[in-house]
Amino acid sequence: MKRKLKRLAQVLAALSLILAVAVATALYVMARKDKQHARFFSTGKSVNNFLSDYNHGLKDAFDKKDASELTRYYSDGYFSSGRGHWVMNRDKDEGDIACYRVLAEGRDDYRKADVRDEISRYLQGLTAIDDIKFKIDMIEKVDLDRSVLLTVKFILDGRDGQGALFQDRCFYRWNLVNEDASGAGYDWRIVSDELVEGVRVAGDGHSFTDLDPASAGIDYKHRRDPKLNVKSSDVHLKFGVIEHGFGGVSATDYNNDGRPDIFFADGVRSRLYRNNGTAESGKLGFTDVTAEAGLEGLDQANAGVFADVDNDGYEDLFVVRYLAPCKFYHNNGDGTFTDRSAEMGLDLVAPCMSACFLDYDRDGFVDIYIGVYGNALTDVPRLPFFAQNGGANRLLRNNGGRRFADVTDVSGTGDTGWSLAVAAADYDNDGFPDLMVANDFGRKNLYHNNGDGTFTEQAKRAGVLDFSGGMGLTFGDFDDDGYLDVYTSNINSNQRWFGEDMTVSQYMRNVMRTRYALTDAGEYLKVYRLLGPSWTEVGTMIGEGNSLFHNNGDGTFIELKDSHTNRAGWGWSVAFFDMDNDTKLDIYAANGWISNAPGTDL
Amino acid sequence: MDQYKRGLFFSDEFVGENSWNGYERKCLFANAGGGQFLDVARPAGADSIKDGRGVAIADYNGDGKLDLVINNNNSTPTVYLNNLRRAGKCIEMKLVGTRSNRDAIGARVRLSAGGKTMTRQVEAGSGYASEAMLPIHFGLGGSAKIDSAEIIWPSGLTQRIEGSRLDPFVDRMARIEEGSQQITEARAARMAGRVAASMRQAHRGRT
Repeated sequence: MKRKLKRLAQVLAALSLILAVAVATALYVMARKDKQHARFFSTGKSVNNFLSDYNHGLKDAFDKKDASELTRYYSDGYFSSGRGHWVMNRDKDEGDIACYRVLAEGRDDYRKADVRDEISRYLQGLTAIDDIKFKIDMIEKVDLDRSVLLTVKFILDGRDGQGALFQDRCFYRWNLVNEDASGAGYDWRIVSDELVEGVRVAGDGHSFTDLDPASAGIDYKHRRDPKLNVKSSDVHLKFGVIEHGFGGVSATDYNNDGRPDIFFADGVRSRLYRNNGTAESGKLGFTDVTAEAGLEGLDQANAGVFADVDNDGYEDLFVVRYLAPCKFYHNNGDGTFTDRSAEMGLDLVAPCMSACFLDYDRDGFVDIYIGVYGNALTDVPRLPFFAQNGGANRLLRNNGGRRFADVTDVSGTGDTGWSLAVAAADYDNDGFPDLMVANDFGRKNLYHNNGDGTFTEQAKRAGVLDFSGGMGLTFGDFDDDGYLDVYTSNINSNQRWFGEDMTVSQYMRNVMRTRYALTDAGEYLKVYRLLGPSWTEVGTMIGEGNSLFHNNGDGTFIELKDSHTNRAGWGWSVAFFDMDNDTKLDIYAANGWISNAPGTDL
Repeated sequence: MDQYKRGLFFSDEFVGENSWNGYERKCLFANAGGGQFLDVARPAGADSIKDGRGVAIADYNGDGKLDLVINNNNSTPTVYLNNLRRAGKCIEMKLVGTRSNRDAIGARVRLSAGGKTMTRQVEAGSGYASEAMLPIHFGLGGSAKIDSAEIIWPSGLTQRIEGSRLDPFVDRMARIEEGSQQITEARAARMAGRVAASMRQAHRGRT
């Protein structure tokens, strides 16, 4: 017995020694990695500063009509072998818009003076510059503090001699070398460059008329929900930025006159505007009918979706509210609505964000699917790239237009991500509408309708996991093959280098030192199961922006990464529509997160 | 930076009084074919810098071209009336279900014109907290003639309509009831300006 105990003590001692060594090694490795990350971060920041200086340099060169000072951003040893000179070639027009491709022509070697001359020629073609952006698109290779190979995104908003508005968008590959003599700071210089691709689009800026809403009777300004204003002393949120996220809008024809009316969902007072058409004055006019329609007092709202719930020929209204009871208004057919939220079973309270109608059981009555976010009062998204701690989405079945029943559990559609957007479409043409969900801080969910009242989640199999801050999504057949494709909106940071592997592993190390180390471990395992060994790339995925998925027609999708639809900023609503009636679906993508004072962007 | 390190980069302390992806220009991706798109928002004049949220697409002024209304967080909305000069013809269809749900939500229409077939679905709620008008909209390019349309109703009924029955509704909105071959005008005041002008013209011709 004694011997056994002694033996056990020895084993324990050995184990603790091994453990101690392991912990010490781990801490040492972590500290080294921390240091590396800090250098990666400061290198990235210094490159950002370099781009910002270059940006100002280009603007100065334009103002002074002289590009010679710009050469100081190039190394004396600058040499691009076989680079060719960059020219603009006219491509086919898109509606009213003239399109050009920027191409490298010839195989000339380029030296510093050649670059200067090329930039001078380019600037001579502009009569005004409205805006220039130089951003890191991707850090391809980094030898910390010494050299960086990166892709640079260049956007110039300008005007030419004929007054045309144009935008040049180019991607360059720049090889930077740190020529700081002291070895302590950064003095980046371009040693060689290469054109990745570029376009110019030009027009007169009047293909769309920016109508002053007030002049058309739309005297509306969106207001945030004061109950979510953290600057107010009695509001305490765990997830503080939520108040900036709201503002849905819908087109409907509530009075069946064939003219689209507008419903704005608002934090203080939602509005319904009746479209009076153009007949009266020849100008489009609207009237605020919120009060006379019986829709006053709709605060804390984020979306209003219209559909004829009882098949009486008039569009009823379902209002999605955040942490306030949802509302259902029956359309009486005489321009007024009646609140029937409770009797229809549609007065649920949850952190609701969006909704869509679909007839999932094809019984001739439309059902409702609601996208439910997390509760900002009590929770923050955990993990920030795979948050599953939101409220469950709801599927509500319409029983003959008389009452709705919650069928979330039996249908298997209770996504607990921080859902911002939902949409319904029959993606596999089997006759039953399926559901797709965009989750903030997470992934997409694709619920295939089995036709028997149940759904099966298929996002991984279908290839539409699309990890990111999912903000919106829409279905449309953009290539006319008879299958509905998907376009999703996500966040695309101007600092997307920030999300590279190094930062993700840094994030992990930070978490490992907090109490979340244990609680999050299971979540990491789930991410690994979904993504496999490439899971550390999740940070890069998150910053990549919007995604266009082509429907292959066999229940799977393929992301068209080269379709030039992904860099749409901090994405919100997206919509397919044929803007020029040329039969092909185009895309509109809203964006923008928080605009406080200009020039203070984080 | 501390907030970021703690994984709380989305806290309001992190934002403070700063902008964060602020003043972003909206994107209008023109479909160039072959899976390629081109952002033409600036030269088209549709690149508002407000913090856009919902987008509601509809032909608000009845000129046959789709317009945009954007709700902007903490700001006035953006109303973009489509004024593209080089635009094709169109047809809009308001589908009315009888066995299917009345709005025909979930119906899919395949329309053939000018040698190609396009597919659209009736949907109610998509994008972000947004809803476009329910009637579906087909651009027809230069073609003023429709070959045929096939409607797959949510009830399962597949309804074929000859192009000649739809041609009178080019640049208008047709009301199509499930299973019925009777097609009527769904928007009396549609193209009001143009129709009124051509009627006056016709009147003068007679007198």
